[in-house]
Amino acid sequence: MLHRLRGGGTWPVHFSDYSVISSLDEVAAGTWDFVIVTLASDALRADGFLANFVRRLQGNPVVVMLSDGYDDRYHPQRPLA
Amino acid sequence: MLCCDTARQLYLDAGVPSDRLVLGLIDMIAWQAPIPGERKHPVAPSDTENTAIGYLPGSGQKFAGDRGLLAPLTDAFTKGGLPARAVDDLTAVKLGNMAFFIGFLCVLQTNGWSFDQVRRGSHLSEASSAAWELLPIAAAMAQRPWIGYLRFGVYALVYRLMLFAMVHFFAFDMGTCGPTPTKKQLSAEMEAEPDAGVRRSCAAGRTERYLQYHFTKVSKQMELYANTFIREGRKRGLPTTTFAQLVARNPHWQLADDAGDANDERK
Repeated sequence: MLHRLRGGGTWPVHFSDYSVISSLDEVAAGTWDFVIVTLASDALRADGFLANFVRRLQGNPVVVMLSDGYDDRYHPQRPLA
Repeated sequence: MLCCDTARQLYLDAGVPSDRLVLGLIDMIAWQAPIPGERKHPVAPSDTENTAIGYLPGSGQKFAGDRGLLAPLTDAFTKGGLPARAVDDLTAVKLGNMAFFIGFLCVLQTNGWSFDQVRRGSHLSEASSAAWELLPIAAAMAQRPWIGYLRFGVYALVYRLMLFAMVHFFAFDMGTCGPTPTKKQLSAEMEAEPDAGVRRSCAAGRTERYLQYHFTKVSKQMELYANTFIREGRKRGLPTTTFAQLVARNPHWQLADDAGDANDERK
């Protein structure tokens, strides 16, 4: 259930037309129009994840990047807390 | 845009074709409702799967890139109830926003996300001094000189007004809480629910909890942004001393090894 806040009121939206996938193999099994990458900058740098992920994208999707503006050298090289 | 080159290159190196890569900016807030400390919420607490989203009137998700590629995406978001549009200079917007906010967020985190605490002393003055340093850096990174001139409008009073606005108008659960409760109302609620836990006896608690929740989650990313500003400023011979001192005092962030003088602040 999504609760959209607008005009001082709450607009509940029952959103059911979705599926959850949790493995790269499942990514490869589908075709995609758009892929919005919502990882934080440091998580995006996890070893090889992005390349492995992109390699499995079928359908020549448009990829939307949300993270920018940091330099590889400043990656803390430590696991997320 | 220079600031995007590194991130863009990361995607290109991963195999994304350059003609299929676009940039987006999240311009809304969302949370798993209710979060701890949320005084009221739009969903029944017994529900286990709820997401609340909110955005300011007139705002919307912003994307930059090939307009032909973006049209289906912005159309889909808009038809789904979340306004979205394509813009030309998203990088400048992102950098300017970050330069304005990151010092403020840094002092908030250092002070336990307490609005009361940052209002005292010189915290907000330091945040504005940091913005004076970072906005010219952002301008240089984005190659948009006008961003640097924005600093002339940034003073401690601006952040103080922003805190006031967040508490009274922009509380994260705006539209669901109704008017800010009076002390009498809050006292009655606290008396009725003495085991409220993290619930605060002031209206600011709502916004404080949201900021703490969100920016603790992305703290490492903020640390990366902070070090990027310091590095880019030093590379260009622009001052970063005040901001570096703020970062050094934040126990949750770590200055990069080559942050130079700033590291001395931590010693």
